Amino acid sequence: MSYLYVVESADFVFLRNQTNLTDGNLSSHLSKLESAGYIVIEKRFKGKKPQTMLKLSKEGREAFELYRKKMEQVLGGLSEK
Amino acid sequence: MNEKFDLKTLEKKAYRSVFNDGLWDLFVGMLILNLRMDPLFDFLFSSFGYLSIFVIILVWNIITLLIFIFGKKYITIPRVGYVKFGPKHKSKQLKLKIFLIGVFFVNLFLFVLNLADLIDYSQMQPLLIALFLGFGIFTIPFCVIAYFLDFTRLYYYAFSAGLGFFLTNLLTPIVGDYLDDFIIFGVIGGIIILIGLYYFISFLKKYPLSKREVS
Repeated sequence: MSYLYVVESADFVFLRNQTNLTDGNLSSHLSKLESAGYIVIEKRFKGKKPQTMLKLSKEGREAFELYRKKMEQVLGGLSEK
Repeated sequence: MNEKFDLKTLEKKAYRSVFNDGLWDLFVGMLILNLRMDPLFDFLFSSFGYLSIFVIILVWNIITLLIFIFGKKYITIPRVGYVKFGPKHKSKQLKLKIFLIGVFFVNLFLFVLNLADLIDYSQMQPLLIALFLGFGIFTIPFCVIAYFLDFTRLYYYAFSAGLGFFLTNLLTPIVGDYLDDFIIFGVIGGIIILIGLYYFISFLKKYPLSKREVS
């Protein structure tokens, strides 16, 4: 989700290369995120091969921002001493 | 933990992956190589007239541009994937386009001045001309392009090419007026092309074509 947060949209191949996940693993993550309404998946064809475009939805972006703020608070509260 | 939540680093990593294909290096290297290839073209094709040399230089530049455009479309994107970056990068790209249009018109203006013999080079020191040509026309614009593109290697190339104009001045007394440019820019352009080829081959090995999905 963090990769989709920093870009406007990307396709499956780009996300797979950036995350180093396998096709199956990434598909499974994306399906769950789509079910939660956090990402928008658009499937189309380029010639005879499929192309999957991915984009963070408005809800997904808000949820990620909230998650980020919470994590910052948690990590900020942890002292090295 | 901090590394995982550093979104700026993540964005930079994603953005810079676009330059791992070496096509920018090949593009810049071929442009630099062409910058002072006229002595070679002159030697090879002078019997066909000056216009033929102009046509060859133009064809070379068109081929360079086509390699870059088709390379990105048919080699890079299918392997690395398709990505659209956010508004920050779009704004940078717009500024870069405006800057490039500006550079084009400044160069056109200088070219016309040169053609009309309105610049009196005899009043200028040769090193000053080299400074003007090297850093004014090459290094500064290419550094600005490197900044907008966030392409670090381009800074080195910009300085190497700028320095090339000085080095030709040093080489002129040894090898003569034509070979100096040919040697210096041949070496600089050649090295950049080799770096580009290294990145290109590494890229092809690292990112094989996807069998299931296309970009």
